Amino acid sequence: MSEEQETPQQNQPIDLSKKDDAPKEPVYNTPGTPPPFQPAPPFQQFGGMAQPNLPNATIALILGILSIPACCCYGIGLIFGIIAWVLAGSDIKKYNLDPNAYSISSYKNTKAGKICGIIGAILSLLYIICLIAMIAFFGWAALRDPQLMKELLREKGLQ
Amino acid sequence: MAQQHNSFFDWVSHHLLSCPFKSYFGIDCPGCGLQRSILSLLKGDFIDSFKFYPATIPLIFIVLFTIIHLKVDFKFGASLIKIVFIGIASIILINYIYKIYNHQLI
Repeated sequence: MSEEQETPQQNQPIDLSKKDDAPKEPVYNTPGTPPPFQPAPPFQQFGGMAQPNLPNATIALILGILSIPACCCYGIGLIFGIIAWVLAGSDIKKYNLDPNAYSISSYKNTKAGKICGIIGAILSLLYIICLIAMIAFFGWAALRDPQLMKELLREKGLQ
Repeated sequence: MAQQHNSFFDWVSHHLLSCPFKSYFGIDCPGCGLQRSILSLLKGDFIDSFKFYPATIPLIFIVLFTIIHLKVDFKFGASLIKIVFIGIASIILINYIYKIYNHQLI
């Protein structure tokens, strides 16, 4: 389904640019005319100044970074990390469908946000697994009572 | 003036948010020490801050750098954020494992 949709869309801009380049050249040279709507290939190499950013790039990056400091409060970081992961994933798909429409810097930011979100989510997941393992290992009553906990730890030879 | 500062820090250090993990189970969580560390950093004590929580300085750095990067848009910004973030994650993990080994959890 998605492959069928991608192939015509990927071909279109290439064909259009090839067709448009020849007739537009004299128009482009005249002073005072704005540059053509579709960016020419050399412009893309410099990061596409005029292209809009991906919609969720900034949010994904910020949530991804916040997921580590937040992982210590009841595992809120897991939620932050997964939101950043999902937002960045959908944006990366959007960029891959139409790479000319968005700026490269925002794409890089989105990728960084995705990686930060993944790491934050993994850390919070480890924290939650650790919590569950401790409840299973020591029991709820021992964890609520520090004295009993210390005795248990001494018995196990951990302290 | 100096006394005022001292009393302010005293007040803050007595009103820190208590870690839910610590208050329920009596064991440090991977994030315990962050507030004490930020407090000692505000006092200007870098070594104490590092001892309380080694990831504080890179964490503050990455937050500030992200704000600047989103405004100015560095070319190397995204990759630097990624590298620092992976570093912070590994620092936190190593710190927690070190604490478990040295029985500093309680």
